[in-house]
Amino acid sequence: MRRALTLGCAALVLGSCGGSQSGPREYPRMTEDGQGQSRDAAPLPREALADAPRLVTEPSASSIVTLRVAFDAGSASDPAGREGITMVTARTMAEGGAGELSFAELSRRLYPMAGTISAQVSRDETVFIGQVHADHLDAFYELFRDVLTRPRLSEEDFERVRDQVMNELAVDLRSSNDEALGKEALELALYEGHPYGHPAEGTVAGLRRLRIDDVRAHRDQELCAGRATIGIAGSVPEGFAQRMERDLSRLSSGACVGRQALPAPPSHEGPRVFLVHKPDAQAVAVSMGFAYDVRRDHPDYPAMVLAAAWLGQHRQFIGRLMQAIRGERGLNYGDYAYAEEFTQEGWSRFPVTNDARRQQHFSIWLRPLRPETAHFAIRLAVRELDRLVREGLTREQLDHVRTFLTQYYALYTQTASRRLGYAMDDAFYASSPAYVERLRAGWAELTPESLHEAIRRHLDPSRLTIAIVASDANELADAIASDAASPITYATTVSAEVTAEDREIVGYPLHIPRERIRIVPVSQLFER
Amino acid sequence: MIRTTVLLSSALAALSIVSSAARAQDAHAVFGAEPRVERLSNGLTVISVHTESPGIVAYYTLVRVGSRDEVEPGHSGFAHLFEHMMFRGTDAVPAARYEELLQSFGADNNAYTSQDFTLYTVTTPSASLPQVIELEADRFQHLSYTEEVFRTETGAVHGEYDTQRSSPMLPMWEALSEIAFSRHTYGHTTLGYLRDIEAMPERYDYSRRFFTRFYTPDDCTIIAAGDVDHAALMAAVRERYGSWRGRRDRPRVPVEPEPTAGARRHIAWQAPAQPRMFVGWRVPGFVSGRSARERRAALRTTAALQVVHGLAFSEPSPLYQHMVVDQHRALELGSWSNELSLDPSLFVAHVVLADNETFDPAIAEIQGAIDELASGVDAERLDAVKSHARYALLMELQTPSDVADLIARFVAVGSSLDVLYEYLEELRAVTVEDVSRVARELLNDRRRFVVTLSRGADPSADGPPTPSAEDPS
Repeated sequence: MRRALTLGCAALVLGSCGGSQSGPREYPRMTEDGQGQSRDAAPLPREALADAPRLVTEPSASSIVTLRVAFDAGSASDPAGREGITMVTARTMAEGGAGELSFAELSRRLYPMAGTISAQVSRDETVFIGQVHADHLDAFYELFRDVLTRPRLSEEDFERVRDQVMNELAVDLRSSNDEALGKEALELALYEGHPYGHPAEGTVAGLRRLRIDDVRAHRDQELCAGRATIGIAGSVPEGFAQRMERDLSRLSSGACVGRQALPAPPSHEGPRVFLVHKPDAQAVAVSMGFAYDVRRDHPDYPAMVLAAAWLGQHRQFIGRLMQAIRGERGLNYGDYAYAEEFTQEGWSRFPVTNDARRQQHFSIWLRPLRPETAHFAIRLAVRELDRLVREGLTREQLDHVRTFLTQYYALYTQTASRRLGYAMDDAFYASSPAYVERLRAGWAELTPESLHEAIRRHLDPSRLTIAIVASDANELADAIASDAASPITYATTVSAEVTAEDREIVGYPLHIPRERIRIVPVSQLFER
Repeated sequence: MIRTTVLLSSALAALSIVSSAARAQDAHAVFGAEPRVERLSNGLTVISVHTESPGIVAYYTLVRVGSRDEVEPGHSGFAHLFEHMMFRGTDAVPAARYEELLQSFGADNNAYTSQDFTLYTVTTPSASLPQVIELEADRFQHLSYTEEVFRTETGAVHGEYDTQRSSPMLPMWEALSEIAFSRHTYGHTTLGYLRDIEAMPERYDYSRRFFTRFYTPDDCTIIAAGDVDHAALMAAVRERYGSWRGRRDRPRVPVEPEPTAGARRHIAWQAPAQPRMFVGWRVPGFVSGRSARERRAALRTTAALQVVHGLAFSEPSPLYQHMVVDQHRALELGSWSNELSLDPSLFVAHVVLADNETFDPAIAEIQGAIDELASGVDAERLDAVKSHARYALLMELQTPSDVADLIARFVAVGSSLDVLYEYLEELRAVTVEDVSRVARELLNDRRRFVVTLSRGADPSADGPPTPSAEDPS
């Protein structure tokens, strides 16, 4: 306790904690021309801060302890002109020095325990994740706590992290990972001018403009106790949760403010295309979707998860798109649909947790296609979506997907760490009972009619935005705009059913005139 | 044929070295229970381990065939293609029905292929295990597909290649494999060359032969982890797989001569890219040697190399701290640890350099860090790495799938599960001298293969890029 208090005071010297004593910090004035894009004329209201961090625990006998501290602040909290600041702040904390230790010293302490401390930043959340074997919990916790409450945020750590984030954005994402690029392009198009409208990594201009003082001020303002949820999973000693609550409660500052409300996502008339022109692209990446108001706390959320699984459960064969595009035609490696933002956890088939959002979108992802088949595959996907909305599912189809999901979702919560993540997500959405339980109950109630009604309420193909990354952007844009036939050939004879279906698909109208097709050079993407 | 027999007999000999008490202790420390191992008379091995995971079981089938077995020119990537074909059904259970049934259980069903093995991964509610066993037994014995279906599936494999085409890592792996192996099949990637993938639709007959050559009971190991009852598992496996017959083909995998000089190749990338490189050293396979003593020595070497990964390339290492943290000359630095291989393979470090950094000083610095280990290691650092390895292993095993995957990776290259315990024993026993020896004898510039990539020509090179090694296909 004494040690904690002493450390707490030391942190004051670094300007990283200490309630009203440290005083509100302000972002330094911008020193460059071009102050970034102003998103909204009138500032949106801010929520009230909570009195103390929320606590969520997932007790288990597991000897692997997971600590998660999530803040209701993500890249949507980046101020205009400083896009990327939340990511750089969180990673400079997680990948820099803390307390008396430099990053090198901290790494050396963590290494023998194989303990890990990382930061995950999404649009609305920043979560610090610590994992360690119970043998080392005490020593590990002191490091984890200091990363959160006494980060050094040194100039050197900051510059290194900013350069890494800049490289991930401007080089890796733009040129080395077209699958990720296509998905980010969709979000860019869906949320243009909205706080979700830039990747968590930020923009090139925003990152260039960042200074260490910005980062320190941003932490004081956004990553504080009144916006925190503490999560603990695994076998911990009695009193551990209270200790953690006490320590994290000190994470407050006079500069801390509540989360700012979000504007509505931008709306548009008719389906449209956002085409990223990437001259050296060898294949075509496609993501499509629309913003909608179904989140996990919406009564129709289970229906939307089921509808998405019908089209394509992530990396499983059950989906209609997977069967039609890969299974029957061999056009690509995989095709899936999502009822909410989906980021895969590691090499698994499951999403990361602590990626909750205040606004969501429904999306379809077609993995890279050979250029000559892209237009056809897009038509096929849109046609399947149209069919789903028009016809819904038969009783038999509904039962099949429901049976699959009811069992399959047991795999979503196999580890205490993941159960904890979902429990924290439930706290974010203020929804109960527990996530998987809620889904199963929702699926059990669905009838073909109620499912179809929910689909028609929320899935509107006329609002579709199709994001494409391609080398022959103009050619593809002209083909789409003209609704010209997109004939398809295969390396083999296909079934009579496929041939008959193809006759409809090759000319299936997308109704997207040229003026609703925007072409953006990849070099301009994420620039500002 | 001879080689494998030798491996098997030396594996049996080594069994006697690990005392059963020590093995049980290790098994409990790693898995929380001792795995059970049985072999059917047809050669099929079954391993089960009960772990705390109520209601969920991982039912994995390991086939010891990988891109290593692709000895015929023009057939790179075939083991991987065949992995895809295994999802195309049987006469009794067509592909659609197979998927429908697995979906009705709520199973996660997938597979992957490596240099040395192919692993089929079903994770399912344990109530459905008997049906899963029936389905898996059927497809491993009675796979059946038409030429049309085969041709269509080759398109999906092409699509998988397309998922990686924008990444500079793909051509870098291809180049590193080529320059490091002039004869051995590790000279091509598991995904295979694009030209071979494009030729796949014409190889239907070859694919049928591939099934009878490699999908045989003596080449397969079933691994069940999680909520599983061993006796019930064995009864079901005996019933469903007992009549399976076949002997694995033993293609003559060319032996790669010991390197006497390293090689280097530059890739001029057309898209924007940070300068990046792979530095790979030729190292022995996971298990080698004829006698038990030689085999133990080989495991010690692998263990010492694993320690070098931690000493030289982990975050707290002096090299990382210098290049990445202090000088910002590299954006990323790391190495591919935990890569086990049947035959002599590569110990690979990868570096992403900051703008305007050149390759030669970075290579010199990396080699310098290795050479420093050759001249001595601080005992405290060695202990830290060993402790890391121990806890990292424990933390890796959180689900039945994690457990089954770990067992598969060791069995694939080590013939039996005992090799895992032997390896852990050797890891604990690694000395400062072991580390110095492997750094000196194995990680030197005579055995070093470097692939660099940057936008445009190699800024370090005086002349044109180093000519490529013999193209293996």
